[in-house]
Amino acid sequence: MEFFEYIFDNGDRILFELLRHLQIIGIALPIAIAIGVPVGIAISNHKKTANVVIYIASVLMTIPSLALFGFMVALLAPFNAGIGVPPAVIAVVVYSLLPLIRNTLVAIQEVDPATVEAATGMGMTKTQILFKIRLPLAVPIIMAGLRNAAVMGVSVTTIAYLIGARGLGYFIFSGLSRSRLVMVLVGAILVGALGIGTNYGLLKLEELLTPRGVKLSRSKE
Amino acid sequence: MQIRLKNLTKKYDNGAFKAVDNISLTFDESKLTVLIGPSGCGKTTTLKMINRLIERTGGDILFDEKSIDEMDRINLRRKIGYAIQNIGLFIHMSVFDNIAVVPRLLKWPEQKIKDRVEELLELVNLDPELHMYKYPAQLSGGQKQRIGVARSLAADPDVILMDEPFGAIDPINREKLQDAFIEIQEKIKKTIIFVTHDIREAIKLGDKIVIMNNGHIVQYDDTINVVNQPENEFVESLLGSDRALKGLEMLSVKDNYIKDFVSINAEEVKTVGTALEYLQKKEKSYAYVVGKKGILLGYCTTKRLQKKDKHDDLIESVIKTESIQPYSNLMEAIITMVEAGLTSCPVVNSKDQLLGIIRFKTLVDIMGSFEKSEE
Ligand SMILES: Nc1ncnc2c1ncn2[C@@H]1O[C@H](COP(=O)(O)OP(=O)(O)OP(=O)(O)O)[C@@H](O)[C@H]1O
Ligand SMILES: [Mg+2]
Repeated sequence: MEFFEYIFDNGDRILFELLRHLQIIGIALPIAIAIGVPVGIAISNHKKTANVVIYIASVLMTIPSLALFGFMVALLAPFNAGIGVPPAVIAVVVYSLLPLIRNTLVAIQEVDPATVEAATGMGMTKTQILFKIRLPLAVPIIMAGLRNAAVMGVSVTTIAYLIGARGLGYFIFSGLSRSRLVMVLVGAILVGALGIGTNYGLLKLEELLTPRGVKLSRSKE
Repeated sequence: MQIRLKNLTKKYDNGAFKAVDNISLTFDESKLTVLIGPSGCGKTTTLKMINRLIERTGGDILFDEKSIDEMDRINLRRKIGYAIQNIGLFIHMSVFDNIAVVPRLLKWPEQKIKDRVEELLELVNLDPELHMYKYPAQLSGGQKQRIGVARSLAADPDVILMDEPFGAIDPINREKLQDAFIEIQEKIKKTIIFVTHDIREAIKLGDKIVIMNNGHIVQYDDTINVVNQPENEFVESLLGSDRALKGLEMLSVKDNYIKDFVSINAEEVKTVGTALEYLQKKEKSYAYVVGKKGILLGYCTTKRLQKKDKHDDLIESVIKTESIQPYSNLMEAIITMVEAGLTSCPVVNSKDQLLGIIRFKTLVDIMGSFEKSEE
């Protein structure tokens, strides 16, 4: 009962923090895509570089998020951006790089060599093969990476409350400090629902972006 | 366009292995030349050096006497049709877009591309309306290979390279595709280099045959000469033991069928009675029946017609029959007739229009003459 009461009484606050949460993810993911996908493509031709890049991205991802925020606060402080939205956005971008780079790389490399050979033999240039053959075929795998990144982004953004970015973390962390379990519960449920919702929304987007022929051949397998 | 290979060589492993070893030959303009030989003998390597998917390590390739080095690689490839081993259709593109790839690279206007795609689909015997907007996943293996062939012809190239284009298909559909393909080449007369494992296919399709082994040419000659005068034991073993029957594979139905024959047009002759009269007048015990546009419906016999009322519809007494196409070879004709128990078989074009009939007796006579020449 107390639970619903809290929601009714704090509707504005919930909406505000939810939008802030979405805002952070909404800024971070496009940036992550703009970095991750081109990097994934660029390294697909160089095995050694690819290994190094993937290694760096994996290391970045193993940094605990609190530590990462610590770095960020220190690094951005001189620019007056040490707390608030900017460090949160950067953190989400950093964590998103690995799934995006890795999935793009794999998707580009795994295109059937016979398909690429046919395209080359027909007189397509490397660039044409990339844009007309490899990328359209890579859509589902890249989108899977993006979903991975987005779900992670939802939880990282929750912790970003601690560096003043606000967002749904507010309910969890202030609830904990005030020993108001109902707040914690509301926060946890909202974060969970947002994670599931984001994943679902991106699945729908994936369906929209995946070429029909690819869907047909997948459903056949 | 004529293609001349001059001491063409491909070395691997710093020259320790020669996949293609110093071969020289000329592929004649407007002819279909088959490359055949055991797995690993260098067929695909030879083919890919011609469109520079593989760079040669020695010798030269000349297109109408112009060296391949003087040509831009990308432009060269756009002028050479290419059907790879295992088709390689683009699964994310519709049939239309697959065929349109090279025309679009060459910046043809869209209307011209559309007309061309429709024309090509008709050529490979697929209904454009029905298939144009399907995706590869919605096609059968045989249909995919037809699209592969259509795609290689798309921009009307002078030269077409085909690497086992019918390899992945069951024997029955393969024969149909081969027939269709012979008919196509009869119309387009391109310089085609066709790789296959299958000696029957080589004999059936090739104007000339190149037999390769270990990166060398063992024999290069007109198909008939390869069959009749194999260069050595290697070629003989490739040809196999049943050379008399293989001889039948070189002859096609179109040169051996009878064009004047008795048929009944069901558009004009509608009842059993008129059909019987007609047969009696012609002193025939049976006749093939055609419908609109001369499309074969089957045949009727006097015996069967006599059991019916003479006012009955003729159509209902027509018996369905096997048929064969003019570009099939005589071997296929024999098999069809033996399997269906026919002493003669109607010959129809790709639209099922009756062209004539072929008699079993003719085939037996031809076989007899082959056996004599082998003795
Ligand atoms: N990159 C490579 N490095 C070393 N050897 C190679 C390479 N590519 C091909 N070969 C060798 O060259 C030889 C000729 O290969 P090729 O693909 O031309 O054979 P093929 O006649 O087309 O055979 P198949 O009928 O099996 O398709 C083979 O022995 C193959 O192992
Ligand atoms: Mg091969």
